[in-house]
Amino acid sequence: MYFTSPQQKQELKSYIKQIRMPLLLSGLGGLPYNCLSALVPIIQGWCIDQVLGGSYDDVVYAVIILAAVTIAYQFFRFFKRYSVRVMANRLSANLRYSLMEALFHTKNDELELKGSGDVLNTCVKDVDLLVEAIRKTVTEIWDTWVLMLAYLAALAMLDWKLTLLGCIPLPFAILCANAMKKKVVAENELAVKANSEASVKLKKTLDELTFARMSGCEELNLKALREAFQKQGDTNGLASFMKNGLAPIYLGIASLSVVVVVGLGSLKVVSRSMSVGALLSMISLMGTLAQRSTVASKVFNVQQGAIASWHNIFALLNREQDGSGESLSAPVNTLELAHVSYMYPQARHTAFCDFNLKVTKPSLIGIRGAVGSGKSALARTLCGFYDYEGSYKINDCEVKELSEASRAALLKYMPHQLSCVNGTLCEVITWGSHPDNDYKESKRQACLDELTDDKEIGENGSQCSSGQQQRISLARVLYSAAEILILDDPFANVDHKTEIQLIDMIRELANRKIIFVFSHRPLIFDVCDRVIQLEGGDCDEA
Amino acid sequence: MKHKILVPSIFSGFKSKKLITFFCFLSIAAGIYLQLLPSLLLKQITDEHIVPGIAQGVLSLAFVYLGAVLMSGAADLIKQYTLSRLTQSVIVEIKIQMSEKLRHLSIFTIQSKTSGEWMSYFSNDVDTIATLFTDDILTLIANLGSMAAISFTIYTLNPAVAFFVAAALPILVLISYRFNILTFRNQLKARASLSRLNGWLNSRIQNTPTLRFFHQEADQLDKLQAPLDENYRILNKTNFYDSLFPCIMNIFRGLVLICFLLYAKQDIDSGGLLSSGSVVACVNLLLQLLAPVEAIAMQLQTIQEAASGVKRIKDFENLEEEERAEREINGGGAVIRCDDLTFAYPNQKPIFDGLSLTIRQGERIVIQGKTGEGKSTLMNLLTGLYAPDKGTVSLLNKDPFGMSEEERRQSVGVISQLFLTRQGTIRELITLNDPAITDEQLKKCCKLVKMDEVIEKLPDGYDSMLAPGSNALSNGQMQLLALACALIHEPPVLFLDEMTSGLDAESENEVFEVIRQLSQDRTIFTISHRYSDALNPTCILKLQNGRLVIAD
Repeated sequence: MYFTSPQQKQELKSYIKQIRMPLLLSGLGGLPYNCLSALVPIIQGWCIDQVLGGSYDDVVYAVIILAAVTIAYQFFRFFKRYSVRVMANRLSANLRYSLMEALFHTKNDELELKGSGDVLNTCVKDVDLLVEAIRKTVTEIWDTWVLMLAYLAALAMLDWKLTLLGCIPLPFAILCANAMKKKVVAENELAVKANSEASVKLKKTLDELTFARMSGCEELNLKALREAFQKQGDTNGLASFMKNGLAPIYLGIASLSVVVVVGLGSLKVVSRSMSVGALLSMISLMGTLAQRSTVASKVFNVQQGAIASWHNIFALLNREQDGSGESLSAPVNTLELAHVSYMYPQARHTAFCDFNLKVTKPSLIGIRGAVGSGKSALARTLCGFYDYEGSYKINDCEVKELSEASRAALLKYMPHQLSCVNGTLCEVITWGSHPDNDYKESKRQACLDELTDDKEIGENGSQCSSGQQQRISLARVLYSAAEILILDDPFANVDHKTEIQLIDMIRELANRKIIFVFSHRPLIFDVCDRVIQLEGGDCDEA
Repeated sequence: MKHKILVPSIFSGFKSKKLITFFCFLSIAAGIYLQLLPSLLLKQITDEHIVPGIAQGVLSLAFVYLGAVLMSGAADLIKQYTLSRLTQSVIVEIKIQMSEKLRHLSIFTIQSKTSGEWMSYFSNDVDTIATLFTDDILTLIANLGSMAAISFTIYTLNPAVAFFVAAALPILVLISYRFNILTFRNQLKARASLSRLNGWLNSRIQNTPTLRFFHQEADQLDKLQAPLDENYRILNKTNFYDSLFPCIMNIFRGLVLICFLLYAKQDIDSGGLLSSGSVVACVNLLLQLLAPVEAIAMQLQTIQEAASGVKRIKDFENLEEEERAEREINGGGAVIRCDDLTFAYPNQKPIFDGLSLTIRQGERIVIQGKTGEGKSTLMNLLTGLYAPDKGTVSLLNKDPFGMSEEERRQSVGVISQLFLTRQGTIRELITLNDPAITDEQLKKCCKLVKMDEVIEKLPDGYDSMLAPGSNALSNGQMQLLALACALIHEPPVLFLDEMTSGLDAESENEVFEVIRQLSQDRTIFTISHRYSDALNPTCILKLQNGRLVIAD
């Protein structure tokens, strides 16, 4: 199976279009299933009539028909159930694919604003909720509305006056269920909130337990946790009761229909204008109809929840995309920043403003400054994947207007923490290619010879020391052929001897490239062509 | 020492809700009886009115029928309500007992598992077993009861049919039980594959900026096909069995009905026991029989699943607890004093063997030493996070290990790197959620560390949320907050753990400047891997091979 995103990614109906085949199949199963389901009680009643009044052969004949209809009925039921679920599974895979595709092209600033926890929640939970709602809606159309129609038709066939009379209580049951719906939803929301609060509190308590015990606030934390558990218990108890427990009330009202049929129907049978079997069929049909009418409104709740989920999904799909743009290829000659300002997505103040710089290749530029002077912000601006104000040009091309591919090819940014997916050293550095000569060269340059090529790095380098993480991050940048390198704090957690080796390597490399090095260690600045001192957003050439 | 959790919690969960427990059982019993009534009434109507053709009294029977339906609905309502209340009551009780136990576990036991592992005890395991002891077992009783009641009623109508049912029931239960196991196994596989898919998505979501720097978007989308496809296949397989099961069960029910109809015809023809009304009632009861059968098979399955949850909670219950008792230890006039201290981490060689140290009022001690020499261990022993294996530690004439929390907050302030991993509002982070701290105290304390202006400039002021990785405050500013947190109760003793590592020289100076101002009249114990005289220490000691020596 190959999963793709549809043409019109932001429209739910284009996802439905993608799954039209299984949807059609479920319809093909659903129609005979519902017709047969109304037929089964009628045939059962007819069988009883044969037992009570017919010959033995009549009974055998009736029973064979019953068996055949039951098997056919269950066959179509299976067919419908299965294809609806296959449809749902395919839909969720397509949606997840589409979300990841949109995510990969969403601007980094927007990603940071959203937070990865929220995005994951949308990719997992919201997709599940939405798909569940669509599946239930499809099922509902068949199992509730079509089924109710079929049952009504069957009932009317047996006795239409009695059916009309019997149906009177049904709307009241539906109304009652609807009236309670708001309350049910509200209680459920309270419970969901309490659950997430309790789980957040629990995680926090556990994460901070050592600190809490040291500082003497463990009891205080546990007290808050117990309160959260108590609240969770209270709200969940009520919510689960409201969700499932109220059904008997609606069913009680709807069951009045059955009583009408039992009472008036029996009188008809006594006066011999109806058979016992027909009465039993009507009781059975009416019973199912009553039950269905009470759950019909339940599906509506699911749809309500799904709308919120679709909003979340839509918000991710509808982000400003950062895909196409002009293309620019090597060689790079100049790089120029004029009146550039940068602001972190969550912050209110600019990290630096009105920054000017002109660099020609080759160049090694050292940048230093105290914490909060805007070093990391400048590194982020230079890498080309974050929004900035002002003009930032490479060879007279505005970086903002370049395509993603061009920016990725020209610029390489080494952030101060290694960020990588799980894999071996070779996979992380080369993004999955085989160990070629370039790989060996960059591994040597980054002083990583102590690690074997198939060493498992772990997510974000969790299985390596912090010094190794730093050098892996560096090697990955060196492996690419980019002509502009931005190295944010490459020597942190690196011992003195390695630092000197790395400085020699960077110096040598800078004869062919433009390299920016951000550091708070002094050694590198001795070999730089230029050193820039950042101070509270201002800069000085040192 | 071990506190029992599981059994006492379940008992107290039920005990604290005596009335609810009573009504729960009552409604289950009533429900079992009431569900039989409609079938029996139909028999009566058929035999006493329809067959002889007597119309009088039919309507009153119909009202009895109505009463039965309404009462069975009421019983169901009460059952649902009491069950959900009881289940939650047991869940809360177990969770509270477990969190109580956390307090008594040693820090080594806590650190031997990740917070995710501890959390799974609290979430999945507790839910499974609490549901097991309330919902599952009580519903199982209800279902067994209704199966027995239906079978017995059929027996009173016609014993032969009852025997036939008795033969068919085990087969039906067995089939649905098998199906449930099959479904369960597939669900496990589906869950595993979903968690693999989620892991894949999570790691890519977190690394999206990096993927973009290296232009790996298209490549990664290609690679997404494999986990999506795996998940899709396994889900389809699970759904295949899900969809098939009710169909097979219904076909079997049809088979049982057909057998009965053929038997009933022979019985009636040979002038047997079955009246018309009995045939009608039997058909109804047979159709009713399937629901409890399916439910019982499902419950046998969930009870088995819950067994693993019970085992895990038992494991939790059996974790060894620490004994912490408040006691006085005379420090002989010293603020901190340890004598003949011996300590080893569980299953490791001793780090200290007979270490002694005395720190007097107003002294500022710096402990240096290489990584692994036990600087932090020493600090954790002095603050009472660990208990010594031998020897004594006295902190302000008390045993720090047994100190009450209230007293600990009043006497020591610990400034640790762990502060940086916490999350919460600035207010929570500094006051440690202590309701006794007023806003004035908080502001005063922040002013002391020169953070009041910075905090007030933040959009939400003291209610700004901080979490590891948020860039609202710089590293140095976070260190100052850690300092504020340690000082909020104005303790006479401060412990500083590698305070300024990860800071550049300028920020380091800012932090030390604040510490120097605050250090008057306080006793300060610092550990540091770099030499620094910024603190103006009265004494510098070096930790070497488990001994303290004066540093040169």
